[in-house]
Amino acid sequence: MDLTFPKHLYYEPEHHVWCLLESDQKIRLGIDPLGISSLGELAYLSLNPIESQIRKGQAMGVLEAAKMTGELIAPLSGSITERNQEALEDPYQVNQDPYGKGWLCVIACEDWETESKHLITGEAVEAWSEKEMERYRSQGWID
Amino acid sequence: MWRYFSEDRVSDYFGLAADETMALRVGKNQSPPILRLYTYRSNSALVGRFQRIENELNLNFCETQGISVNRRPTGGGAILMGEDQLGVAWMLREWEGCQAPRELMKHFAATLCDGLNSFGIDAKFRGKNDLEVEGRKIAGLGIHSNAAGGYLFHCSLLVGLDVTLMLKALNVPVEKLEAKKLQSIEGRITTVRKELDQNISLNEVRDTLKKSFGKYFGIDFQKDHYTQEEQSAIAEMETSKYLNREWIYQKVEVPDLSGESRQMTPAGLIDVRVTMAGRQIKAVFIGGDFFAGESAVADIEGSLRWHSSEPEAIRKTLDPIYIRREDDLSFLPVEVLCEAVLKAIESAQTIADGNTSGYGCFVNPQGANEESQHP
Repeated sequence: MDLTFPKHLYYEPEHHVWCLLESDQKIRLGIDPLGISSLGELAYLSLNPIESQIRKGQAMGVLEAAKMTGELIAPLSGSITERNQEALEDPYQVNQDPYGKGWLCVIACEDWETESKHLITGEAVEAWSEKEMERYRSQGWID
Repeated sequence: MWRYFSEDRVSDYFGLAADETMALRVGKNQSPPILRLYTYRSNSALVGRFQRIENELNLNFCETQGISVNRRPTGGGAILMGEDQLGVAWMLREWEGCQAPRELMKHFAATLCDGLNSFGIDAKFRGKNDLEVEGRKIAGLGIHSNAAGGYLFHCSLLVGLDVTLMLKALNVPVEKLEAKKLQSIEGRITTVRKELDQNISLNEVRDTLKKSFGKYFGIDFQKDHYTQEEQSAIAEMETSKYLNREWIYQKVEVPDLSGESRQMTPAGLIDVRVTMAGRQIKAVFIGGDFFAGESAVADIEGSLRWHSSEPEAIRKTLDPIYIRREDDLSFLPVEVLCEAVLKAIESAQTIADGNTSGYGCFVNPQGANEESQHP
């Protein structure tokens, strides 16, 4: 997998969820390639319903990859306004195109200004992603 | 300090709720790591986290036989749990600084193998989530990670098994299967009692596994009990989730598919059947009249469980098996087998709800094994 990290995105550093600021409060979310590589190929995916409230650090969905199930952790608080139905029906799209067709959902963020402060973006992305790749390799998260 | 729980004949909803609740508490640092060795009340049919319950279980049969049904937090295929199957739940945040689930899984599997080896059973960790004895599955393993950072590693170990009951509960039309086909299915599964050829008690197996965990991780286990707070949290989880029909009978977005290919090749007739979850292979059966070692074919089938359907990924998995089992597979070229598997995948069609093409944790696709003619 191509482990690239575009600088215009915001990354949640612990759970490897990317965030794209589309308007003042409209944020598109997905899993970054390092997060996906550590999981393997996705078999199933579920997301909380549209209009449901999500809280930063809490589950916003569940996935099954290579027979491991895990909760998808919300990087921000808000409500889900859109879900990627194609990815829900064919989760492999998340593996194939994590920044494109494999997006997960769009949320209306409650407080982007405050909560985005813990996200990594811009020039900080390169150093952070290299360090994360090294950590993931050394701890056996990825080959 | 770790905690140890030993319980017997628990209900499906309590067993599942206790696993999930306690793993969550471990994740929140409200409890040290836990080892739980327990049995379910006979019998409970449990589907994997995302399985379509109508496709996987014969719900009418389960109801008439008093078999409770539920949905696990872990993935994989449906299983039948009861007083002869030992549930092993290991809950932790990390071990010696390691938080990578697949690395932790290796330790979990190694401990279970050590325990079985001490009985003289040559169990090995195979593929992503199986313990096998010479190609016969003896245990299924699963992992669930929660938002608090806790892991639940789970194993369903077959100390004994009523295969016919399992097949009936798991939607396999046993009445339509000939004795030979049933024998073939039984030949892919084994139990501790079958391997030892004696009616060893479940408690003896439990005690041995407890010692194995203690030795591997350097822990002296003392039996523990749930606190009042933990009992309340488990009861809350039972009510909100495992007694809730919305959880048990939930809709699944990814379609179940099945496909087959049957073709004459220079190696002979090759009959391949697959069941899939969307684009992921759940199980593969390889039959026909080609010459190949039975255990080598089982090895291939086991390695393709819950596997990518991408051609490169399949080839990457098969190549090392062909190197390792060169003599057993010399008459079945890897290119021929790959092509047959890919054709079965290409032919895969959506399975209608209620169809009997499910895939149990210990069973290959329906109709599987029925025409196996390899020597």
